[in-house]
Amino acid sequence: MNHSFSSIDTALTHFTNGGLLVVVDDESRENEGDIVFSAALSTPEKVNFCATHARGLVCIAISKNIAQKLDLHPVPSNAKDPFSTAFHDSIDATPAFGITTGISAKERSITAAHIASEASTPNDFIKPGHLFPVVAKEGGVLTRPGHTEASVDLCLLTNQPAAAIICEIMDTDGNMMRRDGLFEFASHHQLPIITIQQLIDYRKKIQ
Amino acid sequence: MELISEAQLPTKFGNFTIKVFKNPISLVEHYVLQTNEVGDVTPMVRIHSECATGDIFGSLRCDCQDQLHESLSLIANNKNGAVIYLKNQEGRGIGISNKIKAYHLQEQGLNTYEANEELGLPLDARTYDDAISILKILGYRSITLITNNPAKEEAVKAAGITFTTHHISASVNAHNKAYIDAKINIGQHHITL
Ligand SMILES: [Zn+2]
Repeated sequence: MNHSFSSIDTALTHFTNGGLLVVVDDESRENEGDIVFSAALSTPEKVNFCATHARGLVCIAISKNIAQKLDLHPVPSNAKDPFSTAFHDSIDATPAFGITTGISAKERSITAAHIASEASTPNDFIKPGHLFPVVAKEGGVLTRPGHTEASVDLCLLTNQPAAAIICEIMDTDGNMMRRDGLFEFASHHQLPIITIQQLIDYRKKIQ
Repeated sequence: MELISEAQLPTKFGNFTIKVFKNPISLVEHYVLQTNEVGDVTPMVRIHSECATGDIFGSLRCDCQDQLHESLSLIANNKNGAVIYLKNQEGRGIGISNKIKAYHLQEQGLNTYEANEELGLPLDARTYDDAISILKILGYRSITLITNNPAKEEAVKAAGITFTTHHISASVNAHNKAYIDAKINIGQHHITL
């Protein structure tokens, strides 16, 4: 197979404009592809795309700063996750922002935008909710080559609030979509596709 | 799909309104050239996949420019209808650089479909989802579809839009004979030569 990944420049431009990316980790790691886009630029259509086409768990990758600012705490862990994904309290924005049950694409998009908003405070959210924050390690992909860190790094590299919606891409048979499938997925939906390794290389280069 | 902008566009084929639609997920911007000078005839619709080498440069390796121009004439004469020009579908959705690589392989004797396979590219990466969304926004429920491609007929049928098909004739030359043959035999296109 002669599939090629998009350039980082293409991906960063697309991400800056609120477009969706397919980000894949190493085939020796989770070997998964996630949809990633800026939470500040979220729309109901984009969240609905995740639910309809990616079909994984819709999470929001955030920096430690945002987690602290919004008083979000780690979900107690029994430490069996080999990749130690840093799940924090699930949340919804409050009814003051138009939230009813919190689950619709529209309402999750509203919650995501408020998490990304500089003006938000802990009082703007209720716990538990329908959006799942995962907190990136400081140092980003240079510390941990995971989707969470890649997503927050994409925000920081494009001068956006450090919050991105992420959702794993599942095959129609319910298994996780692997490389060939992910290339076809990206091509079908005309989305840039990059590896976390490309981000690592890019960050090392610009440092 | 979001209508971003529109304006009048007089062309040598006739007067059209050009509309730019943007897919909010892929951020791809498609163009529509539309006319509705006469309201009570069935609109004619061409779903055209971008082909820079053919549409712009008049490449003889394919018949895209002929098909585009013939469609614009037909629609202008019909005084009702639209060309939906799908961007970023270059070379059956595989990108311009891969398309040129495929041409290189064809110079070595492979046909379009074999060349894509050799490059590890899907047989037909094109998707008509965006075109269907645009058709619905334009409010077309019943159309005359200008095409020889059964995949486009399938997509329109699946969307619940009623249609009859207007086949267009292909102009064969020494450079595109293999391309047209492959379209007929592998792509199952209905082509009258
Ligand atoms: Zn062409």
